[in-house]
Amino acid sequence: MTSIRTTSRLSLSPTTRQRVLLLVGLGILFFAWSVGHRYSRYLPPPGMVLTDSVELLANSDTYGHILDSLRRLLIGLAGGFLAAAAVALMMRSNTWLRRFFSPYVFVTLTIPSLAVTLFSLMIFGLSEIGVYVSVGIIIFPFVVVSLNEGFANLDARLSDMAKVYRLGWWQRIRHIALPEMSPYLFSSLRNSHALAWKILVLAEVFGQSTGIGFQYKRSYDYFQLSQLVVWVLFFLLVVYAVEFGVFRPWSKRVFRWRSARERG
Amino acid sequence: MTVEVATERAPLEGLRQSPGEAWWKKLVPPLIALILVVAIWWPLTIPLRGFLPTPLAVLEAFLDAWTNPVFYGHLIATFRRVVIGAVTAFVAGLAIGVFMGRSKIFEAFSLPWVMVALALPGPVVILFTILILGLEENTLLIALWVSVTPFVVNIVYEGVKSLDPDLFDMSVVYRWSSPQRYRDLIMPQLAPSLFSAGRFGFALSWKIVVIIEALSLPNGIGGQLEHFFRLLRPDRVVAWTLCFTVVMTLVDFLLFRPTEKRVFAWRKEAVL
Amino acid sequence: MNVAEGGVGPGFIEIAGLTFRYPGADVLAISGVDLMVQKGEFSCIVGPSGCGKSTLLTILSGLAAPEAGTVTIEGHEIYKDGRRTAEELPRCGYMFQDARLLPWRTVRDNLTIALKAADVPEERWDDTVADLLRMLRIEAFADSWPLNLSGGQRHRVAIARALAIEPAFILMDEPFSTLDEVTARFLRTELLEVWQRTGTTIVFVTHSIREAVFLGDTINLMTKGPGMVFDVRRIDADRPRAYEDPSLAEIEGSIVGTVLEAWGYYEQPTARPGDSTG
Repeated sequence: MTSIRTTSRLSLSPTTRQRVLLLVGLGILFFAWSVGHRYSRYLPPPGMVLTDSVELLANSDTYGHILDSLRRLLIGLAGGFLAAAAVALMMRSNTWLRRFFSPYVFVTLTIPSLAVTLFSLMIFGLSEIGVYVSVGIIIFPFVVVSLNEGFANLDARLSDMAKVYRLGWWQRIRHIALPEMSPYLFSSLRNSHALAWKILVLAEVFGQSTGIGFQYKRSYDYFQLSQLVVWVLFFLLVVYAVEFGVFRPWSKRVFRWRSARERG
Repeated sequence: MTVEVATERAPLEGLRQSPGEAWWKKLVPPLIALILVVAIWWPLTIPLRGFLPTPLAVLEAFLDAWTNPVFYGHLIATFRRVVIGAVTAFVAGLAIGVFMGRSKIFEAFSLPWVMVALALPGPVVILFTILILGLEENTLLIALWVSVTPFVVNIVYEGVKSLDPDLFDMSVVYRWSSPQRYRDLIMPQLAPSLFSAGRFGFALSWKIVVIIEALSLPNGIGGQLEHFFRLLRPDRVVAWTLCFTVVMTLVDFLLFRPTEKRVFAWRKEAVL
Repeated sequence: MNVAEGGVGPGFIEIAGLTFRYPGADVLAISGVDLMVQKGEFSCIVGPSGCGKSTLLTILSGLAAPEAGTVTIEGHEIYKDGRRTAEELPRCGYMFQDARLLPWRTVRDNLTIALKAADVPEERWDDTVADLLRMLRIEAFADSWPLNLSGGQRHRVAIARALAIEPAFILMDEPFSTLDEVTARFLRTELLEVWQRTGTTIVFVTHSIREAVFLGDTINLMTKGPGMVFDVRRIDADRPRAYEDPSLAEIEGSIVGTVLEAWGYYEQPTARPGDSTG
C-alpha cells in the first residue's frame, strides 16, 4: 500500500461519477435479470414486472392501500416520537426519573419486534390500533437514546447570556431551548422514520387486510412473484418520496441559519 | 438509517451511580417502574378478558417453558441459525465493507444498493427468497444473511473510512513493515468498528431470525410464536419471548462484554 | 456628559473586600478586591491570566455570588458580607468574549429579544434597533444570520445589544481579544464614540495594557491569582487619543514596569521608574 488515501483514476466529478456508476449498476442488474430469469423456475422477466406495475398504477385500489399504510405510519410514528421526546426531556431534568424510565427503554430496545407486533395485534383484536401501538413501542427506545445523547451536548454559555439579559422563562424555551434541541429532534425523527416503515410492514403482513404489508402477503400466498416485486418497488418509492419530499426540504428550513460551512 | 446502530449500552445509563449514593437506592426507581407495569396491567385484564393475558397466566407459561424440552428444542434450532447467520454476515460484511472503504469506484457503485438493502423490511426478504428458492432450511439462512449483511457492511465501511491517513503517512515515513502496520496501526483503529459490527450483527440476527421463522418453517422460536399467534395464546407469546430474550442477552453478555473493555480501552469516550 | 472630575466621593460602583471561590476549588479566585468606578467613566481592569478579572464581572452581573465582601451599585447594596441582598440588580449590559448571539435568530431578532426582556415598550423597538445598527455601521445586516457575519460584525451586534437595553452600566470581558488587530482597532474607536455619545459607565476587562491605556479613564491593576487590585492609575490624556501617541506609550511603559514585578516575571530586583539611573 502506498497510501490509504483512496484515489480514483477516473477524471469525472464526484456527482457525475456517482450517477454514472448508479446507471451502470442498474444496467448490469437489468441485464442479469433479463438473462437470468430464464434459468430460474420462478423469477419473472423484467417485462412482466413492468406490465404489472402499470396495471396496478391504473387501479385505484392501489392508492387506497398505500394511503392506509401511510396513515398508520404517521400515527404510529407521531405517537412513539412524542412519547419518546417527553420521556427524554424528563430523563434529562431529573436523575430519579432517568432511573425510572431506564427499564422501559431497555426492555423495549431488547425485545424482538416480532414479539411486540404479534402481542399488540392480539390484544387489540387485529384492529389498526395494534399497528400504531407496535410501531410506537418499537421506535420509542431508539428515539429516547438518540435524544439523550444529543441533549447531553447542549451549550451552557447561552444560558449565562440569558440570565444576564433577564430573559423570561418562555423566552428561554422559545429562543434558546427549542432551537438548540431541534437538530436532535429532527434527526431522531428522520432516522426513526425508516425503522417505523419496516415495523409497519411487519404488522400489516401478520394482521391487516389492507396496506402494503398485506399486499406482500397476498402476492406470496398467490405465488405471484412479479406482484411482490412491484409492491416492494412501490414501498421503496413511498419511503424515498417521504425522505426526499418531506425531510430534505424541511431540513433546509430547520438548518438555514447555519453558515454554509456547517450546513449538513 | 443509522438509528439501529444506537448504543445498546445507553439505556442502562440511567443506573449509573452518583457519588456517595447507596447502591440499593439506584434500584428503587426501576423497581417502581416495573411494579407500575404490573399495577396497570392487572386491572386491564378484566375489560380486555380474552385479549390480554393476566400476569399470572404469563408467569405460568414462563415457568412451564423453562422446564419444557420442546422449548429447548426450538431454542437450539433458532440458535443454530443465529450463529450461522451472524458469522456469515460478518465475514461477508467485513469483506464488502473494507472493499468499499478502500475503492472509491466500488463505494460509489455499491452505496445505493446498500441503502436500498437497509430499507428493505425483513418480511420482504424472506417471502421473496421462498418464492425463488422454495421452503427449506437453506432459504432461511440465505434470507437471514441478506438481511444482516448490509448493516455489518455499513459499520465496517464507516470504520474503514475513518482510518487516519496522517498516521498512515507517518508509518510510511518511518519505514514500517506491512505486518507491523497491520498489527499496530490498522487493527487497533479498526478493532472497535469490527467489534461493534460483530456485536450488532449478532443482536440483529437473533431479532430478525424470529421474523424469518414466523413466515416460513414452523420450527424454531419464531415459528412457535406464529403458531401461538394463530391459536390466540398471548400468554405463551409473551412467555416464550421473555425466555428467548433472556437467553440471547445472556449469550451477548458472556460473549462480548469481557472483550469490550480491551477493544475500547484507548478511546476517550467512557464505555458503560 | 463624561468623566467626573476627581475620583473621590461616592462611586457609581463600589466594591469592598470581595472574595470568591469556585465551587469545589481549594484556591480562591479573587481575594479582598477593592474597586471604585465613577459614574459615566470608562474603567479598565488589567491583570494576568487567572487573576480573576472575569470572575469579578460575573459577580457584578449577578451570575455568581461572592464568598465575602460588599458590592454597591448606584447606591444599592447588591451584596453584603457575601450574601445577595433583596435589592434589585440595576440593568447591566454584558459583552462576552465570544459574542454569544443566538445563531438561529436574525440580528434584528437578537436585539428585540433583549429589548423585550428589558421591558422596553414595543413601540420603541424599531427606532432603537435602527439607531443602534446605524451607530455601529451594520444597518445592512439587520436581517442576516449571525453565522453569516464576520467576527467583527458579530461583536458590533453584541455591543448594540448591550446598549439597546439602556443599561445602568456595561461590563465587557476581553471583548476584542479574539479579533484581528485591525478589526479590533476599528471597534475600539467606535466603542469610544458610542461611549461618549451615551455616557454609559463601562467596566472593561483586558489583558492588554496598551488597549487599557488607549481606552480608559482609570486602570485598575490586579495581582496574579488569587487576585486583588494593587494599584490604580488615572489616565488624564485628552481624547480623542491616538493609538501610537508617544505619551500613551510612556504611560504604558511605566505601567508595564510596575506589573512585571507584581506578576513575578523578574527574579532579581530591577530598576523601578523613579529610581535614579543617572
